[in-house]
Amino acid sequence: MNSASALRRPALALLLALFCSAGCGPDELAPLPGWGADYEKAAAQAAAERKPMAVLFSAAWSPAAAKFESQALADQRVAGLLAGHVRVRLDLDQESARKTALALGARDRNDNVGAPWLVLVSPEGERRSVAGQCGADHLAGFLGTLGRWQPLAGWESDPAAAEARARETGKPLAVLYSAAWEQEAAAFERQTLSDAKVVAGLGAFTLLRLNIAAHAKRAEADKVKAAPALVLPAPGGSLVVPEKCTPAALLSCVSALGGKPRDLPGWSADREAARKQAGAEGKPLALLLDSADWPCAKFAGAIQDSPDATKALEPFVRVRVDFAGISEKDRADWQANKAPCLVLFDAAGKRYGTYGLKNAAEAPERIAERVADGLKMAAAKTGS
Amino acid sequence: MALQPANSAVYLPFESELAEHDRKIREIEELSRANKMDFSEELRVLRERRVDIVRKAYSNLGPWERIQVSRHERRPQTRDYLDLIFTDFMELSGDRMFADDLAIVAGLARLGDERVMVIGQHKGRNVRERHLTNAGSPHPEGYRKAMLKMRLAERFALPVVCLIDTKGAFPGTGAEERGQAAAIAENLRDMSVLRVPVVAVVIGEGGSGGALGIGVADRLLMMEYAYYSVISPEGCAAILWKSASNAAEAAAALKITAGDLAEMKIIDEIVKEPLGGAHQDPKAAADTLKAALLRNLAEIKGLPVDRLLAERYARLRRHGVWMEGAAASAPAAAGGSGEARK
Repeated sequence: MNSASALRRPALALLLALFCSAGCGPDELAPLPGWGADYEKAAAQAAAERKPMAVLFSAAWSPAAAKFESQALADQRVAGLLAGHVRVRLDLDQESARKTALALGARDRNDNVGAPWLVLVSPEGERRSVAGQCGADHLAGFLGTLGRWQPLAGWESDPAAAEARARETGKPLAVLYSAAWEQEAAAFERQTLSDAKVVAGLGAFTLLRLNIAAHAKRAEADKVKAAPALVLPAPGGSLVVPEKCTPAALLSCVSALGGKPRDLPGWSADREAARKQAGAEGKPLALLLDSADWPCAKFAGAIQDSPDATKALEPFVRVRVDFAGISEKDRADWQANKAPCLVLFDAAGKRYGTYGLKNAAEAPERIAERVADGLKMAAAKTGS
Repeated sequence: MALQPANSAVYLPFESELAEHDRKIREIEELSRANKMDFSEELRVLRERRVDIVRKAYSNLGPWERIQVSRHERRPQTRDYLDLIFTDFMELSGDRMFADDLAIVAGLARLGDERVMVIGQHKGRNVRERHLTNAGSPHPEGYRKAMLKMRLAERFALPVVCLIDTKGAFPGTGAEERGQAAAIAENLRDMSVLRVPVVAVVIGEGGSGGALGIGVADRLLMMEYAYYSVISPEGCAAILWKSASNAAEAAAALKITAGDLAEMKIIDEIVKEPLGGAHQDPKAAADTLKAALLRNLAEIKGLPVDRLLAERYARLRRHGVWMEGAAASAPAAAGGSGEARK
């Protein structure tokens, strides 16, 4: 063999090897130190040890996943923050991993999964995920926001114990659905629920605080979709107070619960007489349809306590009627399908407006403002 | 990638009875194998009953269920139809500007005895393939690639067959920076005057501008369980009800099924699918589609180019015209009176 052909052979072999490897990455993921590969085992371990779980969806062919693992996950801060987690990495080329990704919500709105996708699962079942390649700073910052589920002073965490106490004390149950990984939940607890007046108002209830992820079925039954939400007992159902609720609005709900119809000076109870008076004096008529439940008490209170609304009502002949006593036809004609409702008529008896409670947690000031504006417009229309 | 084996079935929510029945069949098959016992008669009865169950489940599907079928992960996709319907496929790549978009497959092929240019959107079957094809949502380079191949077809007087299957064009930053809207708009403009016959088929999802970008045609066909819509039901529900969970309601309101669109004359023909959808029998679905494509191509192939373009224009101008207050089944009047609206 001459020296030229001896040199050519390894060169050809090298070229062949390069050609074969070009464009085709490895087919299987190499193990990642510290990360398991069996999801079921990891989930069982996390449940047994009450530890959070980190599930990484990866793929051998994904450069983004390789970079994420070699840079973001290798960072000391990230490693420290993930140290207490049960860690498992799944290969998306396996059908079972794809199904796990779909089940854990590691998917875009079109149900596509991709690599890398890191899902964190708390012991209570809350989930957060980081999709796509991100840097160590971003990942460390994100992981740093995920706190642990801690008890809240004054709130029971065991449903059975809370229900027993409610029976014992006669205080109805107020259920707060919260979450450790929801910033809004933390803000609601810190700002609204810690308000001194709210704390005093909630003293009339047995307080139960549940993690929404751990009590998803109960939350669904309570018609709660997201945390935070406070479910208060109310006549004929329950009142779900959303997180946007201010302390004042929550307080008005709390204080109105179980309330009695409030006295409203200046409002008669004789509808027929009021109608005749309006016709005779050429005045518009304001008809308040209410009942003895808390939304009506809240609505009537909001109007009565507002100087603006009271003033705007002055040109009207005012009458207050029990909602249950009006006919189906009147309800349909007045577009008043539930109490509380304020129906406005002109002097000729023609209806020109109906105002109700927009939602249970609407702030009293906002109700008053809305009704006052409507009354002013109505008065301007009728020239009164 | 080839279709998945039938034994790893994927069931839709409304197919729960079928799933249970199939489980029974598998159990008996397993029992038969394990104990070497003959249960052929029992299995025959169960398989006959299976047909009834599928027929019952699919006899009265609502719009939302049809959409679920159109998205079935085993549903034949463009590359499946390329294997099943066409021969001598020669793939052509690239847009000569930016990159080759794998969401759009294009190439020369034979459809029966016809030489055609076939262009289709491909979603992919597994995570890797869906990653490469961007789950069938083309970037602008995909639409430019498609148009480039259509111009090539025009140069060689080859009919164009378009297979539509996309949730929509990709709306990412890069796509918008590279002119997604302009790429689609240029396709609409150029396809409307393409001097060769164009037949398009919605084989799965026909989402919005992404579908239109290869959907301006002389004949627009739709597979029986495909949908064709200005927006996905989830997107519509998110806008109207602030929640994608109202998607079923949105699907009904949008009128996006093949039946609705045929009634409104948006599409020209519904291509019947095998019992239980194309995924139950991809070969049969492909055969039916092939026959429909050949029939429609034969109808327009011999037309003089001027007439072909005039009819294409007239066909497009008829879209979106209806008579207010007229019965739903009444034919729409093109360019109508003051009561007609566009």
